[in-house]
Amino acid sequence: MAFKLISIRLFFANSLIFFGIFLSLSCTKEPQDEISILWEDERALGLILPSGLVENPEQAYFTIHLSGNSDNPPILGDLIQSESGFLFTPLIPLTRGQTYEVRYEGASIGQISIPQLSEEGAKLEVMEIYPTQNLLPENLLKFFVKFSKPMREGKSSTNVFLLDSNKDTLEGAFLDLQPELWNEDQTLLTLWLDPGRIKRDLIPNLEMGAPLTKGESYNLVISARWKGKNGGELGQSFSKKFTASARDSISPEPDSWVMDIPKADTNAALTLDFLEALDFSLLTNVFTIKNAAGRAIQGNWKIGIEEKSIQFIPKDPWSRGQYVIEIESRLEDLAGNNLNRLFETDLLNRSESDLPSDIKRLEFEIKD
Amino acid sequence: MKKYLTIFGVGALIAVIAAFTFRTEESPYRMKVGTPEIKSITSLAFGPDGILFIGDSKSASVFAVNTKDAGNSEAKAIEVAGIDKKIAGMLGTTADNVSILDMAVNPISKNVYLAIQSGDGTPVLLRMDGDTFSPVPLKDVEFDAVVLNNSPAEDAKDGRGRPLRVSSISDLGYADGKLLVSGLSNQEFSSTFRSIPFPFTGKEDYASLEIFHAAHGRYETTSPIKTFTTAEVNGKEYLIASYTCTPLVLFPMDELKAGTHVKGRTIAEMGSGNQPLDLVNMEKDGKSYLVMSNSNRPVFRVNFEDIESFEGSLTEPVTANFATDGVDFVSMPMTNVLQLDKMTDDTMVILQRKSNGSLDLWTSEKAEHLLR
Repeated sequence: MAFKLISIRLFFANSLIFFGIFLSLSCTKEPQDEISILWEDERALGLILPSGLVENPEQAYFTIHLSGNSDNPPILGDLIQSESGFLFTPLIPLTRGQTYEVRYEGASIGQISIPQLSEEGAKLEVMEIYPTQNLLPENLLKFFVKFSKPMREGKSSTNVFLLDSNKDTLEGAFLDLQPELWNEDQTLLTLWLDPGRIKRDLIPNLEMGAPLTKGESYNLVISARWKGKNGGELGQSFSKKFTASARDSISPEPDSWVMDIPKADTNAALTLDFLEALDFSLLTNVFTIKNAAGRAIQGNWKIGIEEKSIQFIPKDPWSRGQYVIEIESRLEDLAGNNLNRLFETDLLNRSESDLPSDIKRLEFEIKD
Repeated sequence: MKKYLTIFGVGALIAVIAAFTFRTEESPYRMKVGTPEIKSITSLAFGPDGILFIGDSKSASVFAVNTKDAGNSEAKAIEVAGIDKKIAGMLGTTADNVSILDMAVNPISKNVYLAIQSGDGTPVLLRMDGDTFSPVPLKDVEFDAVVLNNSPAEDAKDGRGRPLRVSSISDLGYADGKLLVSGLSNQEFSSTFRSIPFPFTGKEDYASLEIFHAAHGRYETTSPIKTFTTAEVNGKEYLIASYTCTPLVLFPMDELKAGTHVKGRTIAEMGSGNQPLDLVNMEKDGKSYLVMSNSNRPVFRVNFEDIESFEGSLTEPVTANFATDGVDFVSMPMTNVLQLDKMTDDTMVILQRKSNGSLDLWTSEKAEHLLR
C-alpha cells in the first residue's frame, strides 16, 4: 500500500519537474517566435509553441500534425498554456527525421523537423551472445543476446536467424514469443530454441525434428537492420558460430564441482568450477554463502570464462571457520536440466536418485 | 429583492440537486483515485462493469482501471483498413514505429480497446470511437493494482548484481470474481497460472499453480501457457489453455487451488512450428465453438460438442503422419490473424494482416460462414 502511494507521489513529482523544466525554459529565454523542441534523454518529448506565433491565441484552435499532407490528422496529446506560450506533449515522443506542422484554425503557422540521431548517439552493438562457448549441446535451450543500448521489442523473429553450414536459414528454430523476454532496460533478450522441437515425441519434435543436430555447425546471426529504442540501427550484423555436441541428459551435480578455497584474512576469491557451462541468467541469482552462524557473507559474484565457473569476492576478508554454499536447485545447465530434474522426465525410466529439494549445500572450511 | 430571493432559491435548489446527483459514489471495487504508474501495456482483459485489467509485463503487475465505459450498447460493425497507418498518423509517427500488442472488447459497451507500443517503448491505450481513436485516460482514474512477481528474496540478497530474471504476462482473463493470469519467465520453462480474487484484497491469497501435461504418456513436461479461456463443458467450468508447445489442455476450474499441481487433460495437439495467439468461445444458433488464432496456421474452430464427448486424453503416442490429433477441429479460411476477441456471442473482432500487406480490423458479422 505504502509502495503504491509512493509511486503515485513520485509520478506527481515527475510531472512537477517536467512542468518546472517547461516553466524555466519559458521564463529564462528571451521571448521568441520560433517553435522549439522539448528534449529529455535524447527523446523529443514535446513542442514549445511561443505565444508570439499567433496574436491572442485561443488554445483550442491549435493542432499539431505530421507535415506533408493536409489530410494528416491532428496528433493526440496534451496542450498546456503558460505565460510565454504553449507546450504540446504527444502521447508518444516525436519521431526523429519527421517534420511536424503547427496549425491554427486549420491553417499552417509553422513547421519543425526533429533532427536525426548523431552518429555517436545512433551507435549500437551486440556486446555478447551467451552461452559464450562454441560447442553447445544439441538440446541447447536458450541463447541470451546482450546489446549495448535498449532495443526495440517484438522484432526478434525478423532479426535473428539460425543458419546451417550451407548458410540456409533454419525455419522455426526459435519460439516466437509475444511479448518477448527482455530485461527491464531492454538490453538483454532471452531466445528459446523451440522446446516443442527439443522435447522428444511432442508433435513439433516428430514433425520437424530437434533444431540442432550433433556434429553440425551453425551460425546465429543478428541482423544489421535491428533498431534500438532511440531509432538507431545496429548497422552491421553480428554472428556466433558454433558446433552442436552430444545431447546433455545429466543434471548438474554440485558434489562434483571443484572448489578453490582462499586463505584466511584475505579478500581472495572463492572459485567454483562446474566443469561444464551453466545457464547465464541463473548463475548470478542462485548462490549464497553462509558462515557457521548461518549469516550470509556479503560480496560479489563474477561469472567465469564460458560460464563454466563462478567466483565470489567477499567484501570483508575471510575469517577462519566452516562455511556453506547454498545453491538454489533451479540452477540449470545449457539444456534446461536443473539440480533436481532433467528438462524432460521419462516416466518409463524415471531415475529416483536424490530427493528433490529447493536448496543444495556445499560445505568448505577456511583454515589458514 | 424578491427576484434575488428567487435566484437564491433556485441556486440553492440546483446546489442540493447537484450535491445528490454528482455525489462521488463509493467505488464498488475498493479502488482509489490516482495515476497508476504503468510501464508497459502487454495484455488487456475486461472484468465487470467496465473495469479494464491491464497486464504490465515490465513491472510484473496487473492494474485494474475503471474506464467508466459501462453503458450498454449495441455492437457496431467495424471495418478499418490500414489500422496501423491510421493509428501511426494520430500518434504523429510512421506505421513501423507502432505495434498493436493486444486488443480487448468491453463486453458491455462493445467498444474496442487497443494496447499500442511505440518504437521507443512508450505504451498507449486507445479506444475506438467509430472510425477514429481516442486515448483512454490513465491519469487521476479509479484504479487498483496487484504485483505478480514480488519475490523480495531475489533482490534482497547482496552482491548479485541486477537480477536477470525476466517475467512476462502471456494472457489475462476474468471469470467469476477472479482475475486469471498466465505468465512465463526466462529462467524456467514452465507456466505460472494465478487466480487472483477481484476486488484485490491486498493480501497474497491467490493461487499460484504450475501445470503439468503429460505428452503421450511418456515424457512429462512443463511448459508455459500461451493463451487461455474459460468455458462450461458438460455443466462444469473449465480452463481451456493452449500451450507454447501447442497442446490444447482442459483443467477443471474447481481443482485450481493454491499450491496444487494440477495435471490437465490434453484434448488436441495443434501441430508444429506454430504458436497459439488468442482463444475465444463463441456461440451461434445454439452451438458453441472454441476459436483459436495462430501464428503460423489458419484460425481453428473446435465444436464444443466434440470437446464434451471427447472423454479421453492424448496418452498414446501419435502415429499416422504426425498430424494433429484428438478432438476434431476445422481450419477456418482466415490466415495471419494477429488478434482475436469476442464482441458478442456470435461476432468476433479480428485484426488481420491481409494478403496485400494491409493490417485491417474488422468484425465477423458478415462472415456468417465462419461459425456454421
